[in-house]
Amino acid sequence: MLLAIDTSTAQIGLALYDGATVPGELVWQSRAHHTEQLAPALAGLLERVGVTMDSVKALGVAIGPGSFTSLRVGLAFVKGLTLARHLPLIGIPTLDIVAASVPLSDRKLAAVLQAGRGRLAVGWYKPTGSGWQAYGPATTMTAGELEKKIRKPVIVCGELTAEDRHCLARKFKNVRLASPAQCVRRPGVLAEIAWNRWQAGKTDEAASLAPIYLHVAGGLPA
Amino acid sequence: MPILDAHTFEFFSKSPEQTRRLGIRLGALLQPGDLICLQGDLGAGKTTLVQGVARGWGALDEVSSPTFVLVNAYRRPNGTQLSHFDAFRVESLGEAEELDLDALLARGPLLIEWPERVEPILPVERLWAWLEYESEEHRSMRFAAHGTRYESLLDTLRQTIYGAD
Repeated sequence: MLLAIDTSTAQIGLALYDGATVPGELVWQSRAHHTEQLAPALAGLLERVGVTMDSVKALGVAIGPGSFTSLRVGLAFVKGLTLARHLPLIGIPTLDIVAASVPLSDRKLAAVLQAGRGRLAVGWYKPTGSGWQAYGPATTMTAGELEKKIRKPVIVCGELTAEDRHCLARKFKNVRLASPAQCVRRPGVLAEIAWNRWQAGKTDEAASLAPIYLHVAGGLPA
Repeated sequence: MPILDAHTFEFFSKSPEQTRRLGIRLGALLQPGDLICLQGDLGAGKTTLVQGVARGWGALDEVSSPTFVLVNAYRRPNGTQLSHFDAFRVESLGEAEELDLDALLARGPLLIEWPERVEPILPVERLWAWLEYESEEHRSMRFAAHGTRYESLLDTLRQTIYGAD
């Protein structure tokens, strides 16, 4: 069984995946209480599903982009488990999870998450024979700035507030907005991507796996 | 109490007790997400004001200077916390950014001492206070509101003080 953990944003996600089924999946919004909630939630999920940590043979974790505190909580937790239980670890870029849950289309895809202070982190994906493929690094912008960049038909999927949706809907000819339910970043999808990477032998080093932080001010002096 | 303009408020405190009372009135008005910047030299009355704010806000924990721990948290029974961040020893903006002020703001109000050291990473909407030492017991304070939330906060504060003093 693989355990997947995503604490990139205010949304926390946990999933168990065994290659054929998702025995347990948990998603909720936390008001910056990731530290207090993560471990008890995992204990609760394992108990409810009726398995112990001994059944967990690999760990998947979302590595961002995301906010400092929340990402740090998830990565520290997963690295602790990896080192203590000698488990393989797989880090997955957070926006890849968003993209993987969107059915492939001939349009390009903007995968987004909330970057704080009313901004979005936006990663661009194009359709290929093997699924969505990222091109270019994720950048932060407001929904209004994203709306202005869009000149061709795209799909926008991910964490969007009602205001973001309203703003992007102005480009209704070119923007197809994924529904709120489809926009949920599912830990089960993270688990599946991580499982496939694990099966392919592409695991990460716990010591060097680093999160992708979102910076609040552009061009900070070092 | 002269009023400079609609978004600024000046207060002249005649004693630490009066500074604390002003803090209590301010603290009672704070909500999660509120950012209060306190600029002033050592001895300008920042800690005294913060003690009042924490009490007015309903904190269970006692106020201490966070110079050595960077951020203090004063908890309230409902799970929210008042965060108290001292930027004096922060070495770079990058280091300040890693403290994740947005996460602190999600958990409650945030007070920052030496805010001028980390100004580029602060949200533009905030209440900014300048505190100054005038004499042994006297301190002058000026508050400036940036953003509609802080304009109404300052209006209410002004009203409570005019009503009471």
